[in-house]
Amino acid sequence: MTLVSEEVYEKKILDKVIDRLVDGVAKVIDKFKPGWSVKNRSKIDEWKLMFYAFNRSPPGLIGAALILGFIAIGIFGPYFAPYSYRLFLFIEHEETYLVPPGSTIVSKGETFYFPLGTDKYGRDLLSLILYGARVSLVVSMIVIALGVPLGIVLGLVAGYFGGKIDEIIMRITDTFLAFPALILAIAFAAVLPERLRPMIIYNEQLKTLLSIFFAADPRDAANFAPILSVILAIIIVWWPGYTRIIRGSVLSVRENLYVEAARALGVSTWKILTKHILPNVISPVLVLITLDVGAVILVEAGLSFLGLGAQDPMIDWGKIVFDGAQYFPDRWWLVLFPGLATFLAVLGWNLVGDTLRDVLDPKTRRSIEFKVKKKKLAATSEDGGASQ
Amino acid sequence: MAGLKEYLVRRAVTFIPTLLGVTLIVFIIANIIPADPARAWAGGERARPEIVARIRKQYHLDDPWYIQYVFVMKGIISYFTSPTHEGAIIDPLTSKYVFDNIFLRFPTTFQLALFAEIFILTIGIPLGLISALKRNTWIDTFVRFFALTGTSMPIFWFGYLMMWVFFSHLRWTSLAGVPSPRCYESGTCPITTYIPIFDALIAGEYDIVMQVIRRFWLPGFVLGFRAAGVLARIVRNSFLDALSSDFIEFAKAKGLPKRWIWKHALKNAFVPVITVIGLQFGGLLGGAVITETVFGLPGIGRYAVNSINYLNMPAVIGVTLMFAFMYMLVNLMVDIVYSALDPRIRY
Repeated sequence: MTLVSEEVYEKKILDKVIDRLVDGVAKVIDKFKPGWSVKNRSKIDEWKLMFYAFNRSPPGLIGAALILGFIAIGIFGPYFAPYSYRLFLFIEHEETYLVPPGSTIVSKGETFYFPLGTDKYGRDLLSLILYGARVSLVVSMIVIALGVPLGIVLGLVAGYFGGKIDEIIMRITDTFLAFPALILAIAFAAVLPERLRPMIIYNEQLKTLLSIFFAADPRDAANFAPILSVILAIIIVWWPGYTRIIRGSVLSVRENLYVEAARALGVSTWKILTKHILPNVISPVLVLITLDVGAVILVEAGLSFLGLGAQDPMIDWGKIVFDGAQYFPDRWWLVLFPGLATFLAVLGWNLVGDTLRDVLDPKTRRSIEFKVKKKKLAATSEDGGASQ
Repeated sequence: MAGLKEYLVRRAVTFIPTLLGVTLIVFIIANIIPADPARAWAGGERARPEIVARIRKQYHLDDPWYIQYVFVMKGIISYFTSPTHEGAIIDPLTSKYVFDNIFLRFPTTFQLALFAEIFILTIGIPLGLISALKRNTWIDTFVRFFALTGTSMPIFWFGYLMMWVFFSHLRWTSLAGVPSPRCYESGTCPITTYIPIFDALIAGEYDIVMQVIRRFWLPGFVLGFRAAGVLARIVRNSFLDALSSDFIEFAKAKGLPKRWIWKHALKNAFVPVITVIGLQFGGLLGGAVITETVFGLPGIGRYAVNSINYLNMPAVIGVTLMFAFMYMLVNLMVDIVYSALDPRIRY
C-alpha cells in the first residue's frame, strides 16, 4: 500500500532520510510492543507527512541546522576548545592582552593563534564561546525539562479538579504572572547564590555532576552557585505561563464525552489525565516549548550580562559581552562574536518553532501540501529548498 | 453601562489580593539570603560592631520572619500614607527613603518606556496593516523575518551594535547625562509633571526637548525593536481574521464603502492587539533594565542592578514592587480599554 504522502510529494533526499528514521524508530518500538507499527500505521503516516512538510520550509531547515549546530557545539565544543577557559595567558604572555581576531602571537618561544581574538586576561575568545555554548545549552535544557512539566502538571490538576484546588493554584499563578518575568528572575538570581553556595561546596556528588554539566573545573565549584540560581530563577518565572495555557485547554477538553466515558468506566484519574486529556492539550505547548528554549537562552544571557549568572573565571555568552563592553567599540570582537552566537542559537529555535506552528496545525499543513502538489502538476521542476 | 462599572469594581477588587501576593513573594526573595547583609551595608569587614548591631536592630534582621514582613509592609505603606514619610523603609546605603530613590529615577525609565512604546506602535501597527493587505508578497515575508530577528536578538548586543552605528559613526545621539528643563532650577515651570520632556514642552524649552529626544531615541528604539516586529505579526493576523469574518462579508454584500468596511475590521482587529500591547509591557520593563545598563541611563533598572551588587535588599524589594505595580496597572488599563472596545467581554 502506498502512503498518502507519496501521492503528494516527490521525495527528496531529506524525506528518504526521515523515512528511514521513522521506520527505524517504529521497528525499535515493535521489538518491545509487537504489532505497534501496524496498529499505529496512520499515526506514523501522519508523522512522516509532518516531516515532509517541514522539509519543504527553507526557514525551518535553516533553523534545524542552527539548532543542531548549537547542540553539537554545546555538547562537544568544550572538548574541542583550543584553550581552557581557565588559561589566563596574559599572566605569562603580556602580548596576549586583547588581541584582535585572526592574529598569531609569538611570545617567549611559544606560538598562539587566536581566530577570534582574546579578552583582557589573554583568554582565547573562540574557546570562551565554545564553553559558553555549554552553559547556555545546559541552562536552557534544565529549565525546559523541569519548568515545563511543573507548569503542565499544575495546569492539568487545576483544570481537571476545579474548585478550591483550582482557585489556590491559579491565585499563585496569577501572582507570579503579575511580575515582569525578567524582573522577578533578576530578583531571585540575585539572592539565591548565597543560599546555594554552601549546598554545592559541601556536596561532592553535586559538585562532580555540575562540573560535568558545565564542562568546568571542580575548583570553580563556588561559582556554580550563581549559574544554578539563574536556572532556578528562570524556572520560577517560567512555569506559570504553561499552567495558565494548559488549564485553559483542560477546562474545555474535560467536558468531552470520551472523558466522561472513561470516568464512568472507572479509569483512574491519573490515566484519564495522562492518556485522555494530556494528548489533546499538548500540541500548542509543543510549539511554545521550541520558542521558549530560545527565550530562555536570551534571558540567561541577559541575566549574566547584568552581572548575575556566571562569575569569573566561569564564562557564558552574556558574561563575555558584559566584560568586553567596557572596551567597546575599540575591541569590538568581545561584543560582536558572543552576541552573534546568542543571536544565531535563539534564531534557530525561533525559526523551527515558527515552522512547527504551521506544520503541526492541520489547516496550514494542508495548504503546504496543496502548494507542493500544485507545483508538481504545473510541472515546474523548481522545488523550494528541499535539499539543504 | 452598569455592567462596565460592576466589572471595573470587581476587577479592582481582584487587584488587591494579587498585590498582597506580590509583596509576599518579594518578601520571600529578600529573606532567602542567609548571609548577613548588615555588615555589607555598614561598609564591609572593617565596620564597627555597634553600627552593625544598630543596623540589625533597625531592620529587624534578628526577628522572626513575620515581624520582618510586618516591618517591611509598614515601611512601604507608611511612605504613601504619612505625609512626613514617618517610618518608611530606608535605603541602608544612601540613607534616603527607598521610594524617594525610586521616584527620583522614575522619569528616566518612564521616558525610555515612552520612546520604546512610540517606536513599537509607529512601526508595528502600520507594518502589520501593510503586510495584511499585501499578503504573501515580499513585504509580508519581510515582516515575518523582522519579527523573527527581533525576538531572537539579545537586547544588549543589539544595543551595542546600534550604538556603534549611531553614536561612534554618525553621532546622531548622545550618551552622557540626562537633560532636564531649565525651569526646574528656576522654579518657573507652569505645570510640573516631573517628566522632563513634558515639562520642557509645556515650558516651551524646545532645545531641551530636542536634547531629550537625542538622548532617548536610540535606547527607545533598541528596547522597542523586539516588540515592534511581534506586534506587526499580531496586527497582521488579527486584521486578516477580521477581514475574513462574516460581518465584513455582510457589510460588503450590503455595499458599504470600502472606508467603512475598513473601520469595522480595524475596530475588531484591535481587540487582541491591545491585549498584546499590555502583555508586551512586562517584557519592556525587563528589557529596560538591560537597556539602561547598556546606555548608561540612571533609571530604576540601573538602581536595581547597583543594589543587587551590595545586597541592598530594601532597594530590591522596592524596585521589584514598583515594576510589578506598573505592570499590573498597565494591564488593568488594558482590561478596561478592552472591555470598552468589546461590549461582549464582561467576566
